[in-house]
Amino acid sequence: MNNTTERLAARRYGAAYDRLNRSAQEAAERADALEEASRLLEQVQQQMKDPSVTCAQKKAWVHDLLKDSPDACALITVLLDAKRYNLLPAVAEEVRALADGRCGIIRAQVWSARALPADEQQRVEQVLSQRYGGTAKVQFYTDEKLVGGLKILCQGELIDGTLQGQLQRLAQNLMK
Amino acid sequence: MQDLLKPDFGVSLLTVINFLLLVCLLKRFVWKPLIAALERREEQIEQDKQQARQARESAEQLKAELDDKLAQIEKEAAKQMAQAVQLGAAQRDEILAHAKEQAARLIAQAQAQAAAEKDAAMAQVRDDIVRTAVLAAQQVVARQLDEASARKTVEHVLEEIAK
Repeated sequence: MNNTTERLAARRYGAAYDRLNRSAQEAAERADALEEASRLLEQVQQQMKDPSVTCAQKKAWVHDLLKDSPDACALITVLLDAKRYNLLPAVAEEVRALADGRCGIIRAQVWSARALPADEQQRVEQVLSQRYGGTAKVQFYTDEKLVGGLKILCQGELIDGTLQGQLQRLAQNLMK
Repeated sequence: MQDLLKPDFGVSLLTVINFLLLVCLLKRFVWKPLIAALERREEQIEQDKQQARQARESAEQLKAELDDKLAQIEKEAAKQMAQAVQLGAAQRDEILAHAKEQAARLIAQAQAQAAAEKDAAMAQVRDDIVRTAVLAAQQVVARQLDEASARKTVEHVLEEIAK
């Protein structure tokens, strides 16, 4: 996503797709289906972005690959007709965010210097659920450079509680 | 011979008549033109003298005018010379003032630049020291951080978030 116009366009497509849902369950299923469709289409990504390939041919590939996901297939066909196929990943993200909102799911990314054991992972999810008011679904990553502590990205908020971050802040204060 | 020496009235009378006739002729044909010529010459001389006087007066008047003009020119030249000297002095003062101002500005700029470079160099050295110290601290902490301490730091972060 490289500009605000595309972001707004993706938001409109995502909102329209989300209006098909009558329940949180449907929203989650459609978001899953769209992500799966996006993943499947990565196999033919080069051809899908090739301007020498006709739209009809691209639609044929989409219909062939997405037989089991008629809604996702319809959305992607609309994107192809509007020459907005490049928005698919952003639309999928938007649809996932809307589905998460319906389901009360909060997605977060957490980095730590060492792999967190299961009990600590549960504790992290519990704390984030309490803080943001929902069910936290966390993706954990390791980065040895962090030394210790945690770095959390959730709902656009970045919490840097790592020792590396503390040392960097200390260095910045000293360098002022 | 004796007869020749005797006065003869007739001869004397004739001589007198001749003389008078000669005088009349001279008066008639020589004296008057001579006098007229002398008078004309005198008038001419008088005219020449008059013209010479006039010419002299004109020359003297012209000389006086020229002397006056020369005096004025000398006065004007002296005045312009004084003005030029004054202008030159003013320009010299202005150039000197400008040069002093420029020199002062250049010195101030050089001093400011030197101070800025010194500050930048000191800041660079300070930053390098801080970076090195932080990097060393990071490595020491990473080496000394055991499992229990790592758990503790994670828990501390979670406690801070939960607040």
